[in-house]
Amino acid sequence: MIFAREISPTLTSLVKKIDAETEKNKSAKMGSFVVFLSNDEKGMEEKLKSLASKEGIKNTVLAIDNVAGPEGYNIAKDAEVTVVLYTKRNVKANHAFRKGELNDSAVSSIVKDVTKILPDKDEKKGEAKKAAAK
Amino acid sequence: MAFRGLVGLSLVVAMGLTAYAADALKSGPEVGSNKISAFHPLNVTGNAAGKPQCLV
Repeated sequence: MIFAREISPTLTSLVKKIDAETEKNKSAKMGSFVVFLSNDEKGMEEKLKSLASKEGIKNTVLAIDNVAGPEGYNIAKDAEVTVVLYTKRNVKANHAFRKGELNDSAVSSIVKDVTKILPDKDEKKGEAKKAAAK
Repeated sequence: MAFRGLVGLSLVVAMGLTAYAADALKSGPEVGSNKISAFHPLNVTGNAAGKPQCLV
């Protein structure tokens, strides 16, 4: 789950990488979405449609919420991008960036953290057993 | 002499880490929290495009 305020080249790079990870981990039921926090719903909607089609984003849902972010999520006013990796509603990693702080190295460390929300080998074995029992 | 240099270096590292920690931005639910609750943003793409739908 990513909260962002603006579309930028680095954010686009992050979204494309997360989209690819989501495709790669479909069997683990990984999902992903980006919520753009904006008061200009109409303008942002057009920008997001164009982004999805131009960049071929197919697995990561793009959405819009109010500028303060959802209630109870405590999205900082000066956070340009907030990335929350979670599984079963439990947060496994959090990355927050002010304007201009998200760079290629940060994108790589976020993508690396995706493993934290994927099932480990034991979980995979358990799921395989359950599927075989059905 | 070497010991004094080591202490000096440790202090610099500790000060650097403190400054980094003070500068780290906190935003969104923290690691270990279970505060991932439902909300309904307007979906622009995906199965519910054009509608407010929870994605959590």
